[in-house]
Amino acid sequence: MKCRVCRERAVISVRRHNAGFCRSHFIEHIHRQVARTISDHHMFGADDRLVLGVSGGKDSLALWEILTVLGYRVDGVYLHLGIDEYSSDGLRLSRQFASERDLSLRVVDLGSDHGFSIPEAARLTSRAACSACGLSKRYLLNEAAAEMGYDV
Amino acid sequence: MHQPRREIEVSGPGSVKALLNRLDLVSESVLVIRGDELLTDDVRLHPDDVIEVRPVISGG
Repeated sequence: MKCRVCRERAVISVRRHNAGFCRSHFIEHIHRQVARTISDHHMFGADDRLVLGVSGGKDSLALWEILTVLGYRVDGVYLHLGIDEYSSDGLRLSRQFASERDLSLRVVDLGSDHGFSIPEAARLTSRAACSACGLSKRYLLNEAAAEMGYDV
Repeated sequence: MHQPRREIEVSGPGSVKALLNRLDLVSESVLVIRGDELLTDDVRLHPDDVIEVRPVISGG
């Protein structure tokens, strides 16, 4: 398969667009898609201060990178959920990512800031861990964004 | 971020598409990696290739 733009060997096939892309043209394509989606849905503008919840995984860190490259002012917030090494790894990767790009990362620690971890919350509420986690993360991310005065 | 690892040996899968069929995987759901390059479905595989198949969805 060839890159739709330069005809070099493709590294990824995007079936939705019936197209293949080489590495650099795939990155360009993704940037263009994100920019178009933000514009089409009137999500935010160049003057807004944005905060992005990051987990340390590829999805949230890639979005942080893309938004920054597109010129938006984006800070990160990491919720430390107290889930064993998963949380420690996520925090380490998020910090490393932010530091390498001179970005600002705020950490909310459920244990020290709110007095519980996700495994404890799941046990106390008799909910599945994913349910306790989903509810807590949504509330805490909104709270952190409101407290810090972000627009989005 | 944490995926269970398992290693298997597959003889003569031919192409990436054939390998994924053999493993009963859908190509949109995984990344197929050889060394540091991503492979599309049509790429021919060599008998000595070491291929990493990584799910695109993980926890977060």
